[in-house]
Amino acid sequence: MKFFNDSKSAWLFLAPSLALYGLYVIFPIGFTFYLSFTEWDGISAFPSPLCWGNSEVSCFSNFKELFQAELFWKSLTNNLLWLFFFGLSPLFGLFLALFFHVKSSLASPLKTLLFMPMVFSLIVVGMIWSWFLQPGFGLVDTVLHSLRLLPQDQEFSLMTQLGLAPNAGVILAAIWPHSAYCMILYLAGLSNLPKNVFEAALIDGANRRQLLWHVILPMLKPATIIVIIVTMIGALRAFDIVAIMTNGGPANSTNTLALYMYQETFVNFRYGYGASIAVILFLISVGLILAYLRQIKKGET
Amino acid sequence: MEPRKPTWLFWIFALFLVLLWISPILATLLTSLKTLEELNQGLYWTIPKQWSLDNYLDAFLNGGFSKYFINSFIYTIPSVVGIILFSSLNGFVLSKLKFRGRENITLLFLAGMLLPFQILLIPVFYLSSNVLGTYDSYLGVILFHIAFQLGFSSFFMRNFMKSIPDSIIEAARMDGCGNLKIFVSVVLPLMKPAIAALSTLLFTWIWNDYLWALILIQSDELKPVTTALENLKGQWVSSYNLQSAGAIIAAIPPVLIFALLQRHFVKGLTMGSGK
Repeated sequence: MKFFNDSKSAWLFLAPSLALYGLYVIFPIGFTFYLSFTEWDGISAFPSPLCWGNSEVSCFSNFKELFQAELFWKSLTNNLLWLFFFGLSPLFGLFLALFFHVKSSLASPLKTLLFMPMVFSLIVVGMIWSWFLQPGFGLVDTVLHSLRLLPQDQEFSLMTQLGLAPNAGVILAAIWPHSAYCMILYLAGLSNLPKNVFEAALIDGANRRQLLWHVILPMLKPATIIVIIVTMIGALRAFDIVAIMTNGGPANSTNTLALYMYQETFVNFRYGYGASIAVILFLISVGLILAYLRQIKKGET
Repeated sequence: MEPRKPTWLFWIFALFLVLLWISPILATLLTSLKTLEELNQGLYWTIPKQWSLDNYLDAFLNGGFSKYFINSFIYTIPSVVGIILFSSLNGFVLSKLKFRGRENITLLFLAGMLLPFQILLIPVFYLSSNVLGTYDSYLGVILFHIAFQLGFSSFFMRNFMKSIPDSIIEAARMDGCGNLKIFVSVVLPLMKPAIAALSTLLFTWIWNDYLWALILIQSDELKPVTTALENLKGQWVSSYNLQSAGAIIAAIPPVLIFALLQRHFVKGLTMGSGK
């Protein structure tokens, strides 16, 4: 009998995928790093780094400019706001999962409705929430007025203020589908937990709260780590929903690094400068990506 | 863990919670079924006096939605098919064949899934417009989706394949099958549940993509529903009835997929989270 050597067929089978992946995912990372040292406008001839043959200009001038730009720090701060508040979605997801972990077939249609926002495009989510929070006639505005919680001559102004407030609106919209995602992962985690552990704990006289803190939550730890990392990455990636709801406004109050990068590159045609923002965003994410890989590897051994 | 028995208090609270949760969807649905006159009278969040599907007809006939809707399918279906083909082959290779570098390639595939998209934006735009000539074409977006989703999908398929006993592969080898034959006639049929789960996830993700269509597509004729919606938001500024009809249209295919294949979808999400 004659077989293909495993190694040979492995590389043969992987070749087309690796070619595509290398071209569209691996190569671009290096290319963006390279571009961050140039001042390319996207149209003119392909650039060489700023400092080549010109000792007066620093290779890092994009980064220098970036670190002095007020908008960069504002966007970074907003991403930190995202990290914190969007980071609440695992908690909501856990709460929903614990609450809806019941024995009744009637609960499944309710769960389906809770999952629903997760399959919407963030563009749709963003549009829906813009109307929901709209000053003057949005649902929240209407409800607050009819409950007399807001004076008739005032509008619900969350999205038109400067600073923190409009971020809250955008992040709230993003939490909505993401909590549903976290809920699914936690529900699966809950149903995979072995039964006998709980019976043993209950026989030992543990009450429900002790059970939650000392048995359930520790056993959900692997799921929690994955959920938290994915959530943090999501916070750093924040783009679609900001673009559709506020486009960074009012007065850049809700801008994020991802949106800032897009605007500098494809609106202002500063490809080199945009690349430097992407590099910073990448460097921030690398730690999280490594943590994720570690957790996955740990789960496999 | 054993689920608990629900009490009547649970049902009251659960119903309230779910109603609150889906109120933004309900409100949008109601608005999409209203006439503009009603909205102009300031009746935004009420039950429509006159139910009408005119907004949907308008979006399809005058708003170009029939075109955008078809475009979204043209992007999504070939991408999903391509990813499934490549990733099931990769999953087989990464779980059942022994070769040096297997672990590293697996990690390489997995790592890409969490990249911030911004690090890829400029080079992918540059490649498409200056090197491959795929800018502003269906192919350009499809190729990118296939390449990008390959990472996660290959990892996903590999995890599933790992649960298939090696003895089945060994048996096929004893019968004299080569690796390709084993993949096509033994492995692929066994992968059906994983393919179903992964396809539902991929369909939703690619259908909902906004950023890559924004970067790689310029012509109105080629726009998918997501970028078209964003455009129409500017054109139909205060026609919230039309906008909400557009939003509902864009949401229907993923919602249908989810409603019909929820079991696969949920299984896919949990399998894909690395366990």
